[in-house]
Amino acid sequence: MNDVPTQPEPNSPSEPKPAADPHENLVAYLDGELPEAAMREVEQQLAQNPVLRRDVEAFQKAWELLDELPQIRATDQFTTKTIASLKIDTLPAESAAKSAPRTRAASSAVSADELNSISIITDVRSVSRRVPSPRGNSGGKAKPLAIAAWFAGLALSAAAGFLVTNRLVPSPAERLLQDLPVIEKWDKFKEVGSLEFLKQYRELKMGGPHREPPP
Amino acid sequence: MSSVESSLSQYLRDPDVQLMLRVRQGDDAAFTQLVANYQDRLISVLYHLVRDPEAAEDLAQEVFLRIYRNRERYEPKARFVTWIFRIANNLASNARRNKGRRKEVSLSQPKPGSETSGTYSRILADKSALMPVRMADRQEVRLLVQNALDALNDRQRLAVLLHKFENMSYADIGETMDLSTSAVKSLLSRAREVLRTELEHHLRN
Repeated sequence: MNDVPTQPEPNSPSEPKPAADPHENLVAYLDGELPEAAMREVEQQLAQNPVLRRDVEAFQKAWELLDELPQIRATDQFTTKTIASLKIDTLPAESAAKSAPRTRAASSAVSADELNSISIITDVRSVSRRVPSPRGNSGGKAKPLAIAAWFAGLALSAAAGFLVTNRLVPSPAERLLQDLPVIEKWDKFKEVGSLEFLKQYRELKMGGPHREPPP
Repeated sequence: MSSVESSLSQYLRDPDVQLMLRVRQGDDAAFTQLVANYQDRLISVLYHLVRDPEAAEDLAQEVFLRIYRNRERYEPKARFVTWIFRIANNLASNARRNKGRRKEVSLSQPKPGSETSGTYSRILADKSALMPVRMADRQEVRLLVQNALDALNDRQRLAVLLHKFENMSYADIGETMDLSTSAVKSLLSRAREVLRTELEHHLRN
């Protein structure tokens, strides 16, 4: 695939024409790019010409100074991000559009954990792609149905959970409502002090069948 | 054996070409290895082309994406290193062109208000000359060299970076940049002349 994906840059019109540079051979000599004969010729010139020797020295020193340039390294997440992007890139277009972006500009807010989850998702998807579907080509229609079934199941579970907790687990508010008459008369009950007396008082007040004859 | 077959067998001995052939056959581990082998090298060169670490990473990521997308069509017709840097160069050129179309500041130029190429290096060098005892610290030297590199045009800069940091021969640089070997020779000669001129004051002191 040597036809690289993008077009090569056309030659710039401002690009200097080759040749006519008195230092070409000198630089090529320093770079070890001259054939044997040309190399000997340059060495002879250098032996006879101190100006050329100074030029060579200056070229060499300037070249060595390039070692001072900062060497930029990839960030720690680069490999992970790149591999995750590749996996997403190979997914169907509609899935990829919803998934993680490819470039840092778009993915700067994506954390490492999110990327891990993306990798897991894509791994799972790639595994699921390898497993043949028993329904063959009907997979496209079955997927929305399966999602709908999941949502219906979730709704049913939520309703059942609500009913169970509402009926079986006593509500503190309900208990308070039941005890409200007692609470309202709590001060009077406290003054009486005896439960037995209260029972007798109620029977007396209601005039029921268990009414005892006065002594 | 014909020259084509000879060069083909030469490329097949390239370990990275062998990795890429495994990628072509669907070996993702081989691709991860290629990413590990080239990520720092690509980002470093791209950074000096676009002068923005984030843009350099984005471009490097795009290089890997393109390689992976086209893996099934890969044919070993060149050394892997020249091929990958050729893609990187094309992407960087496209990025610079797009940036230029949006009438923004050139990617390779320093931002307005920051130290500008050439002039700053001369001011700094003159300052050093006024104080002969003063030794420019490493940061200043680094800045001088960076500015000298910025004084090169894009093609000169790439040729210098590939030769200096990738140890590429003139022939390999030519293959990467789609130039003849003699054009590379001329390009590098002029680039080194510019570097020498830009760093002259510092070299003298």
